[in-house]
Amino acid sequence: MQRPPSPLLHVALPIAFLVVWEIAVRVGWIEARFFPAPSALVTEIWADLLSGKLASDSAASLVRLASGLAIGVVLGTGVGMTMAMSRMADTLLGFPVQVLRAIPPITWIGFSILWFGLGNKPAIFLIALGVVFPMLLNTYGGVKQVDMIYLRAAHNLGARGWMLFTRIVLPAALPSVLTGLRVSVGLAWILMVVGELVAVPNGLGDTLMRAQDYGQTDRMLAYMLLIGFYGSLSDLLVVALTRHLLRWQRGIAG
Amino acid sequence: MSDPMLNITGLSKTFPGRKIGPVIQVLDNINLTQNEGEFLAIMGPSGCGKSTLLNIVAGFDQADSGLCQMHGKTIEGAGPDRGVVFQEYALFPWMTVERNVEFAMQAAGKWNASAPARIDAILSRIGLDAFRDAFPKHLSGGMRQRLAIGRILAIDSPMMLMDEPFGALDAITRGLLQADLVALWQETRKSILFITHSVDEALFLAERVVVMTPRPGRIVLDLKIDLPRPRDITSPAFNQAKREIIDVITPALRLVEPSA
Repeated sequence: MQRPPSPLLHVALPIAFLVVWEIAVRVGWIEARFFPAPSALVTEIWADLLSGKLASDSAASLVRLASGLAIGVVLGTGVGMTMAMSRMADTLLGFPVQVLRAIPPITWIGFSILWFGLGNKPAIFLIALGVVFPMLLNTYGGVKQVDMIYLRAAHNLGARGWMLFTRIVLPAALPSVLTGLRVSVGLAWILMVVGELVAVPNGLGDTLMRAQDYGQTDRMLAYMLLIGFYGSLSDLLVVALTRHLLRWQRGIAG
Repeated sequence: MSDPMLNITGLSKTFPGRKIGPVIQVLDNINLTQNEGEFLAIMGPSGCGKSTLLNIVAGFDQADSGLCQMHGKTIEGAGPDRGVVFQEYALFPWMTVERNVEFAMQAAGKWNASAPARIDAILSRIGLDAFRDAFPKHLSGGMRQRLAIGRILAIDSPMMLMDEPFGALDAITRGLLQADLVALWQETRKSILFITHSVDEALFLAERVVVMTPRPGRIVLDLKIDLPRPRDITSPAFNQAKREIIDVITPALRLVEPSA
């Protein structure tokens, strides 16, 4: 058994890294224009925090992310379940789904603006489009792979229809659905930034794009890291949710 | 009570052979009746069709021909009047011990005002009172199977179908659960159809042992077991019954699996 690293090391190592990075930029080993120092990034973020821009950008982005995710998750799980439960839906939708999912979502940018104009809608559309397929496929697989023994036992006890679906099929497929959700949240962040780069006048992606236009590398890197931070935070949330919902899967210690 | 609990007449079933293999006659003209409250064991080596027979009675599977009736009515599909206890327990892992019993009662349409009290009674009867909030994953094999039995007790199935329920348990736990099951049967007098490949298990538990042999799956012996309870598996009478069964099975098996 490997001993887990002490919490001190957990904090100390990143701090040491930041210090070395800062020194390297200050003494000129790294040119600030190509790779700004941490203090410069903090300055940028701090200024936006005080002005309220950080909050408004974050809020705008999160609303888009949440809307796109919600639409994609509901649609993907719904269609995935329908396809898994109905042979007709499976035959009808199987091939189109395979083709559509193979198209990189980013290539829909043109149509998304054409159809929805500028603003939140095309960004939400892109996110939903990216999310819908991993949700659909994971739900489909999850429902298809529900252990026969659970269905038999439930059927034997008298469960039918809606009860069989909500109390047996759904929870049995949940692990797979949650795997889809984790992939989806990661994808949603990528597509949110993509959507904001072109279609909207605010949000984290828009600010990042503007900084890029003006060659403000400190601002660019600051917002890149911020998006990374938010992304990992949202992943942690999904992991926590999964741990809670699937607590029945864990061993004695859980 | 004119109609027996279970009436099986001329039941046959074949499975298609794998790829180009021959068609397998799993059940060949099975005739069997089980009376109300009878503890009947169907004993036989693997491949003799005993589990297929149980699956047909449970409504999971259909016979090619023949009659399978409960209380004079042809069995169609699965239902809570024939509660199944599976070898793999088949508990729902996302439900706690209590929820598993609760779900069974809801699914069977047995949920009413007195149901919570019934769950309490069942849980203490099967010794899982202290584990009501545990998930099946946290239970031992013996506890899981007791819960699976408790779930069927809760829905009060007139008939209990048990498909090698103790097959996955260690010998000591198996012995305890066998004794528990006998006590339970003596209390409730439910009709039990018990599938096993163990001669000892069949003789220890049942009032009547039906022996099957494979290819084709046939009943070769129907034996009433009058041994006094609790049964002593080392007694001469027990061994005599055992000898009788083995003497029938061994020659039949020789035809199917010739020794090298």
